[in-house]
Formats: sequence, C-alpha cells, structure tokens
Amino acid sequence: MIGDSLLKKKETVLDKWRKAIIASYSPDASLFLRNQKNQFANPVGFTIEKETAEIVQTLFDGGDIETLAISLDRLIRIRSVQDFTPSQATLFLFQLKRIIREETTVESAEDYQKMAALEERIDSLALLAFDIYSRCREQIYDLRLKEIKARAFRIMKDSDLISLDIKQEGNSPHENT
Amino acid sequence: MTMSKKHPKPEELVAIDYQPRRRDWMDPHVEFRKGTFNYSANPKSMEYLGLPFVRKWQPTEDDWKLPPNWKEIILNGLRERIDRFRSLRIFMDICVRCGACADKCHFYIGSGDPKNMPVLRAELLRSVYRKDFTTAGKILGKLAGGRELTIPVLKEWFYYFYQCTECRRCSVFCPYGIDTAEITIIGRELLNLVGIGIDWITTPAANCFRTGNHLGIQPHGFKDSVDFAADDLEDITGIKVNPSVNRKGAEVLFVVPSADYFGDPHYFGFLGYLALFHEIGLDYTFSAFASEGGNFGLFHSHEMMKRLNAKIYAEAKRLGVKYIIGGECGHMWRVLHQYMDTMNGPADFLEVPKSPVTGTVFENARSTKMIHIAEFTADLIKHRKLKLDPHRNDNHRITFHDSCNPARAMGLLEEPRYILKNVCNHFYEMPENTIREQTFCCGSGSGLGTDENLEMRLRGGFPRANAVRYVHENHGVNLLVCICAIDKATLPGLMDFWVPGVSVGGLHELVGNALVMKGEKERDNDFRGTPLPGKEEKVHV
Repeated sequence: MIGDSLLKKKETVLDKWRKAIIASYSPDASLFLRNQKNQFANPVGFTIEKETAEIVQTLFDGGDIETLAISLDRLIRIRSVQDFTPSQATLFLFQLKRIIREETTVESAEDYQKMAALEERIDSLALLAFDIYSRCREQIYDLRLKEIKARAFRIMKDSDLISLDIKQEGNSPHENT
Repeated sequence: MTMSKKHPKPEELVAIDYQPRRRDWMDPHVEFRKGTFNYSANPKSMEYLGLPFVRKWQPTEDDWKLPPNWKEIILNGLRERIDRFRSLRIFMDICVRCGACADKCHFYIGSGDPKNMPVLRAELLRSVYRKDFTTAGKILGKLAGGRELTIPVLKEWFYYFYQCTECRRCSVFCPYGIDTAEITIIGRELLNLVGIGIDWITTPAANCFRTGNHLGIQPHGFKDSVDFAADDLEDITGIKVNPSVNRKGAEVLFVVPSADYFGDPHYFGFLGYLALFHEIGLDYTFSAFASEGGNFGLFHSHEMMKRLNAKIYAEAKRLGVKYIIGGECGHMWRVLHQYMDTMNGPADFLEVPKSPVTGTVFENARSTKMIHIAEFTADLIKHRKLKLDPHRNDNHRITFHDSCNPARAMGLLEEPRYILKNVCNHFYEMPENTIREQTFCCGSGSGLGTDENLEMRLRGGFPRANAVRYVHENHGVNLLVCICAIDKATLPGLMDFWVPGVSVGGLHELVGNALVMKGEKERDNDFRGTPLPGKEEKVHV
C-alpha cells in the first residue's frame, strides 16, 4: 500500500494522467474527448475515463496488476489502430510514472521503498502493454487474411466458377504495389 | 535532448512530441500511413470502363502522374456539377458551421482526426468552391475561407473523401439537412475525372459492367452457384427446391448482392431466401445478368451508377416479370430506392408489387416496382402465412444493426425488427443513440470494405462495436444481425477485434432456420451446420 500522502493525490494524479492521454490527440478533438460523457457518443473518451480510474485504483490499493489486463487492453486496442507509433501508443504508462513523481515528495527511506515498489508495478504494466500492443497488431494482419478468405469462400472451394480473365490477371491491387 | 541531462524523461527517450501541434485546417498536409488508405485503381479495370487518364500510380508516391491540365479539368467539373445539382450549390453555400455534425461521424469519434468532422471534410471542397466560385473568395481569398486548388489539396481530398462511408449519420443532425454523402460523392467524381480512383471500387465496377456482378461470375457460374445452394439446402432440410435462372414469364425477378451466393456469412441468408420462396410457392426467377444488386457505381460517379443499374429494369423487361424483389443489401437500396426510378425508369412495363400470398399491395413501391425482401417477409408473418419455430434460433442472443442505407435512405426500421421478434426468442436492442436513424456505420461502406485499409476501418467501426459490446456484456448477445452485404463481410472482423464472442448473421438466415417447411426432415443443424438447440449430443454420437 502506498503512503497516505500519495493516496490523497489520487484524484490529481488521475486528472493529470487523463489530460496527458487526451493531449496525444489533436487539440481540436480534446474538448470533445473530455466533455462528451455519453459512452456511446464518445467511446474513446469514455474508455480513457473509465479504464484510467480502474488502473490508478488498483495500483494505489495494491491490488493484483494482472487484473488490469482488460483495462489495459481496452486502452491500447484503441491506440493500436489510431495514428500512433508503438511508442506513442504505450507512452501513457510512462507518463503516469512521471506524474506520480511530480505529485509526490519522497521524505524517508520508507517512502522511497514504496515509490520504488509502485514504479516497479507500473513497469510491469508497461511490459504487459507491449504484449497487448503486439497482439493487437498481429490480430489486424490475421483479420486481413480471414476477410479475404471469407469474401469468396465458395470460390475458393470451386475456382471454376470465376471467369478466366480475372483469375489470370488477379483483381488484387497488391500486385501493382 | 541535451547530453547534460542525466535522466531523460520517457517521452524524450522515444523522441516524440506527444502533444500534436494545432494546425490550421487549411494546411492540406496528409500522411499516407499504411493501413489507412486505399490502393489506386487497376489500369486494366479503368481501361475496361473507358475511364480517362489510365496509368499506374499509388497514393504513397510523390508524383501521382496527373494530366498537365488537371486543375482546369477539376474546376470545370465542379462548375458543371454546381450548375447541374442544385443541392450541391446549396450545400456549398448554406453551412453556418454550427458544429451539430462535428462529433457525429464514426471516423471522427474513432480517430479524433478533426478533418473527419463532417463540416471540415466538406470544407475541403467548399474552400475551393469559395476561392473560385464566389465573389468574396475571388477577392479576399483565404480571408473569406477560400483555398487554392493545389496538388496537396487534391491529395487531401483523396485521403478524406475515402474516409467517409457516405453513411449520412451526420445529415440526421444537420439543421439544414446538408447531405455530406453527396459532397463526398461529388468529391470522388471530381477525382475520377483526372484518373484518381481506388481499386476496390473500380475493379468490382468493371467486373459488374462485364458480367453483371462484382466478382466477374459468368452466367454458367451463377447458375452453378444457385444449384449448389439448392443442394446444400436439401442436405439440411431434406427438401429439394428448384430455383430458376433467366426464366421468362415468372411473376417476380429476384435480385441479390453477389456476396449472398459466395460470401460467408451471406450465403446462409441466401439459403434462407430459397427456403422461404419455395415454402410459399413464389413464382420467381433470378437473372444471370442482373446477378448483382450492389452498385459500386454509386461510389464512383452518377454516370457509372446509372450504367451499372440499367440491367435491373432491362432484365425485368426481358424476362417479362410483374415486379422485382431485392435481397439484403445496403447501398444497393439507396440506389434502387432513391435513384433507379429517375435514372433508368419509368418502369411502366411493370406492375405495382402485390404479394401473391397475402394480397398486400406495396404502395410504397408504386413507382420503382421493387420491394425489399424484409417488407415482403414481414407481411407474410403479419398475415400468419409462415409456420415458424423460433426455438431453433435459441442458441443465439441477438441484436440488430441497422445498416445505414436501409435505415436512413429508405426508412426500413420496423420490418427487420418485426421479423426478428417472430423468428427468435432472445432479441436485445443496442442503446438508442446507436440504432435506427442514428445507427453507427460499420466503417467500411461506400467501397472502403477492403483489406489494405483495415486499420482505418477498425477505427471507424469502433463506435458501432462499442455499442455491440454493451449488449454483449449486459445481455450476453452473441449474434449481430444485419441486412447489408458489406456489413456481413466486414462486421465479423470488427467483432473479432473489438467484441470477441459475437458472430454476424443475416436476417433471412434466421428466417430460414425458424421456417418449418412442409415435408421437411427433422433438422439437426442450422444453416451453418451447427447443431440446433437440443441436438448437440445427437450430432456428436
């Protein structure tokens, strides 16, 4: 369990963290992402709000971080298909470390140990985040393949049904890229 | 980062500025990142359709090999269309930038990219219109919101007009009724004038022009696939149905999207059509030439749409049918419902559709002479003409995705729900701001449903998937039913990614499962070959 001083800062940490995540989007979109509270009208903003709360709560309560896999998946899955590089997509966990440091004063050896333990937990989350990000990207490539197969699954069973000239030339633009 | 710093912050380590700079919307810079854009049209398909400026190029290349007078061609094209379409001129002039549409686009909601706000997407074209077609813009230029048409502007058009699925959700919220889909349609038309098109639209259009369907299936192949489906249906039900192809004198011509007889899960709905029509003894025929209800011409140009649509009435006339029924498809119905009559009508050689079973006259189709199969089936159920066993669909907990065009372009909101409630026992609606007129697009409509831009489609489809996730978590929904061929092709991937555990099916697949046919054998499996409820053990023995 983290010290009382940090526990008091939970809401501030959470607020700053959310702001940092929202700031990774265009400034023109940040008002919408923050202010539209309907979970169906603004699923990205809603996910950020809900899952960051879950993560901070568990981290501060000393809960099992394995239980955060779903929250982390929800956040990273969205970022894995948006205009982010892998590092940009996962940066937000490192930002959380920075925010906590900024909000905390380490005054004793005990504080230091608690802080180190907390940061280690965030590092574990970061490692989990890399796994999730990679899994999402792999899934995108699997889905591409699956869609192509499903698109004409009957044709694949009986290729005589497709006209010859398409078969020879192919209608896939991949061939000329 | 300076070397003197001992502990670089994480964001310095990854060497990025995590706060994107605010950019002037007039700055036309776009980056063609893999996964977000569509490949260019195959030159062979362009040639087949007689399109101008055939060449090899790709969006990622600097030089798009435009004709020297490309700007003149586009501006003349815009002038011509502003004179031709009064709606376009109004849409160009009337927007007051109230912002009602801004956060309604699924691509904006899923990406946070401001240029996916419908108002800004329209401004991409509107700014050029202002610069060259309004007095204020001619004199004041940028001050009056005018923008010079340059190559970066053209590239930006390509990027964003192919990130609009023409779903028209934004139009529902516009106080002036500006139809952003029409602006996208014109934007794409203008690009096509200088040979800028995408392959996923152009090649299906070329196939369609040659053989009557997107896949290029020839008449004998079409007949084989219908016969094959009849055999499959016999295996499941024990009943041999005899669908006909190109039979003159039938009462009804039945037109389906080609994916219905080839795609998964479309095919199971196709079996449902065959079972239903056999059961009620409908006198119908397919056409091996009007073998595609879909019309990718809509996503290319008005001319292409008209050209590809012409076969429907032509075949109805040649075969001498009385009226036409159409299958489960999305944009197909926008074309049939809103354009066909004036483009290729009047169909004065046809009769107002009248159900031979119930006697219902479909007054709503008095002019087009073509009805949606959901209207037809709902009427049969309403008159208790079908024996249905909804328990056969008890393995499914179902929600309904209103496909954009049937919902917003033709108001087909109640019929599919009425049918569902009669063919299954577990039906749950998604939240109200995500269904009916406010339905969220699959993110793959209007010719964007291909593989190379999957990442963009997953962004655009997130609002839809998010609502499905809600009913999945709260009601255990495991089947997303829809009435659009593009939905059926693209929602399975969307579900796999965002809501694993939810499959996708068609309305008439469930009708077919529930339909108790006269003389059928005891069914063990549904149309997918999955054991029916209570039959699991028997199959495993």
